[in-house]
Amino acid sequence: MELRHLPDHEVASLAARGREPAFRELLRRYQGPVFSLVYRMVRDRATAEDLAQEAFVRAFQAIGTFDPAFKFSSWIFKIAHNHTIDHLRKRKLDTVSLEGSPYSRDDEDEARTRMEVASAGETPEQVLEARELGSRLEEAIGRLRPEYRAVVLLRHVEGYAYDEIARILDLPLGTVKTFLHRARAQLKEMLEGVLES
Amino acid sequence: MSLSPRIGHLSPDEIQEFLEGGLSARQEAWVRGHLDVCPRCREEVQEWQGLFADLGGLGELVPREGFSEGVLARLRLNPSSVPRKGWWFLRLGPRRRVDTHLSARAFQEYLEGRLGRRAQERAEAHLAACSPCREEMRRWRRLWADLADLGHLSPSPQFAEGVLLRLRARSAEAPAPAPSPWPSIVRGVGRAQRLLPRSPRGWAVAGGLALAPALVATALAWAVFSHPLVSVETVLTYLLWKTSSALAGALAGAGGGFFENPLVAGLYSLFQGVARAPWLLGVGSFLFSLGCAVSVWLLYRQFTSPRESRRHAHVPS
Ligand SMILES: [Zn+2]
Ligand SMILES: [Zn+2]
Repeated sequence: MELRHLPDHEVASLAARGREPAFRELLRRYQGPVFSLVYRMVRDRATAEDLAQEAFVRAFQAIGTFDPAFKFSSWIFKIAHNHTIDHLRKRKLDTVSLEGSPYSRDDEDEARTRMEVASAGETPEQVLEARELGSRLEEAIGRLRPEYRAVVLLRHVEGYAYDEIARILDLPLGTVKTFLHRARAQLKEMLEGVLES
Repeated sequence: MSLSPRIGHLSPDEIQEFLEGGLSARQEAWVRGHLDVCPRCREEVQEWQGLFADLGGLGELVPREGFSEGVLARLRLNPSSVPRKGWWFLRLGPRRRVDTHLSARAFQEYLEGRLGRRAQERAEAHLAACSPCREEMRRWRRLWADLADLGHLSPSPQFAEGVLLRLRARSAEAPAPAPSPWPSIVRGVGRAQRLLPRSPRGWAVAGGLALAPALVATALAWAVFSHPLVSVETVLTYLLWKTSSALAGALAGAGGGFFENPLVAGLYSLFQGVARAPWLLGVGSFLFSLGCAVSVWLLYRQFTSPRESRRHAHVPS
């Protein structure tokens, strides 16, 4: 199919004229990367899929306003990231509660919720999640602040340059650099901690 | 180093990285798996292990007595390489950092290739001389390799269909924005709104631009009409007389009856009206200066409007 060989901005302008194959092509190109970012941010398959789909819907609805001078990939990441951060703020799910619910009233309550989380790995989906995000590194990433998670993933999984990350996250370049350094230092510490214990 | 799992035996590089713990978790798992089934590579690894052990077993050789004294004596003879105390702030160029280990920041910038040439040389020199930092660098490299192994995770197979379904449902429940009775007017207002200043500074500039021609026109008018013999009426009468005689001259060939022409008669009475009502002149000059200001503002926006808004695509919230 010829669509496969077109650059992103041309596919995007076909999509802006309402061509469904163009939407499909953009999905084919970016569903994996976008879903991966969101999934690692929220660490829940169903939520991640919902958020990522919503990000694509919003992008496609607004595709008429997409500026071809901008990279489509950066744009879709920007929309997905904004949407995910909104969700995390709403749910206050800053860190996934491997340590028990953040809303628990006392130690006992926390222990109970922790047990529930631990024993809940029964459904096929949770087994899959444990397999996909169960590695030491994935768990360490899950314990970073969401802002740190995003910079690390955009840098090391997507391979974006610092200035592009700054544009996607709407952060000053210096902040991106600082976040990256702190995030990696925390990751390293956590991974070494696991090794020693 | 990116060694991806593949078919085949282990390379010397892979074996050394493996023995030094420099492989990512995934690579290491693959190497272990291969070693379980491949006697040839097991043997190879054992040989390397032997070499590593031999190297590690190289005992420390003690120099002759007085070695360190000798080094210090040479340093005193050749003081240029020793950082001098005092007046350091007068020396230009980067200060040499002596005896400090590489910082976490330095390790990361090194691995990202973001250190300047001099800083990189200094880091390499330090790494060559400092084994704790080499050890630390190995750990950082390992984090890099692990991060590089992360890769993408696939959504469920229905993901794309789900997006298109939602898109269709969304456009069905909100069928295109209700057609406006005057679409072009609405669009025009929208465009005009984009020309409005967006910051206090923009408003200040726009205000200044609008005020400047008005002030100039007022000053000119004041200068002209402050003369005792000059009034609005006399100036207009003079102008009218000049233009009408010029027009009459031009139209003389085309036939007489210049003043019978309804257009000319209308203009003439308009001028007379203006001459009797000087406030009309004020309104006119105000509109004129407003026109000037708008056109200058448009030029200003063209050349100085923040580029950000143009470079960034619109992001729906
Ligand atoms: Zn082998
Ligand atoms: Zn050192």
